[in-house]
Amino acid sequence: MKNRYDVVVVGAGPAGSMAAKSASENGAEVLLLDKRKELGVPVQCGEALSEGALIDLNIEPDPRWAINKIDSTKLIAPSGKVVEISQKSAVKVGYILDRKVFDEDLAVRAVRAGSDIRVDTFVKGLLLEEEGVKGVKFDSHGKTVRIESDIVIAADGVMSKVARWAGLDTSLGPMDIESGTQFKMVGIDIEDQHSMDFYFGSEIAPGGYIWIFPKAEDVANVGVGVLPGLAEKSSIEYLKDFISSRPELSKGKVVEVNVGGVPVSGPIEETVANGLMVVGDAARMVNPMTGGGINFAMRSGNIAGKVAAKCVEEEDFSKDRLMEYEQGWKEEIGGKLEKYTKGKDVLLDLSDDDLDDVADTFQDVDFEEISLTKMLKTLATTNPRLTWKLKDFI
Amino acid sequence: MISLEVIDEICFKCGACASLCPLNLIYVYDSSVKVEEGCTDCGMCADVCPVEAIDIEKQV
Repeated sequence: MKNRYDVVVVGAGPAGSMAAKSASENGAEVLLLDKRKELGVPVQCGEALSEGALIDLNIEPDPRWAINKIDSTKLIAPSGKVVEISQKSAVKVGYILDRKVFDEDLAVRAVRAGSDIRVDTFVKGLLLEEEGVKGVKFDSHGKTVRIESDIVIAADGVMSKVARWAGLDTSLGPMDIESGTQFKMVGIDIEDQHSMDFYFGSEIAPGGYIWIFPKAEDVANVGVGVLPGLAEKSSIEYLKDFISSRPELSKGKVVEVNVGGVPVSGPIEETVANGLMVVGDAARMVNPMTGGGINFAMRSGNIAGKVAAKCVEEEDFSKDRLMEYEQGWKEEIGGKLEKYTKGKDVLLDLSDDDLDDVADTFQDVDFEEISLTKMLKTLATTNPRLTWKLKDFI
Repeated sequence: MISLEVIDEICFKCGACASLCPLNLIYVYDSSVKVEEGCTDCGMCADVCPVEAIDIEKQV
């Protein structure tokens, strides 16, 4: 490790590793830092990823981490009615990942592209000068180490400190974050190993949903996200109650417990400052409807890395110059993030009865491919009572 | 005085509390959680904790 780099990336999750990789590939000298001793651990994720991001970012799905193919999604209403969205005929599919292997693989790709890396390193502050962010500091064996850089990329996840230190507002309220718990369960009955199942209802998961994402024949991630602003107990209690009410799950054993927060606020207002870019969960780039964040994390990281390398070449690290990153992610994923942020509000506005009506409406509709807009348009035409609730979204 | 206690045996160090702290006072390390001075007992951290590992008690 040197004491000066062009770019320091804080956090080696999918956003940070992609940022480091693309900055290195484009000629910048990069240091990637992570507080964890082992990358990808602990897992804080349902581990589902659609194929689109991998295709667009030229990453071939590796069977070491793409451990199960998903070609169907089932949405289960409070009444128990199931709406199935099959993607069997569609080109795009999804994967259930092994995040421990996936995260490490992405970091390895960054290193192979030329990035330097240091794990077990907790960044405790920024080097702030008049012209902006000029590096980071962390403790090592009782000494404070200062690493200078022209650009810092904040990829420090949901609990992001880096952006706040630079004066950006990443604050969340009790309706902006899902409190999540997930059990990796073994020995459960899974009807369709290639289907992701989502259970909705204010009793089982207020402001969120329960998910069952199969990893193998009798293994699945079973998790819940609830909004603290609506929940009456902790998320782990919601999950335990759901599992004990389902014989196909309660017969299984829990082999891993994962917990964490998922930001569902939509992206932060400002993602750049002088010498700083914010990517992934740290920038709240998570689909607020599904809580899915890997896709947006990788895409935003990739764009930030490219822009960082350009700025290094031009020796311009001003906020104005770094705005190219903000324009870039807005162009690539901004529309989706905006749409799904509205979608979340629509979902939150639906009562359990509404959700049952939605399921009734879709019983006889054949969906070949997930298209939320298409779904909601169908609903609006067949169920006028709900149309007004959905008008903002459609 | 306000005391915010993180129950270490229950806590997973997931960081949900840190993301919600309006004053940015909670630091989540690999094996410990530290709360800097200045806590106002707003309780948001305890609400978001997935496993009820945060105890907030007011001491006189």
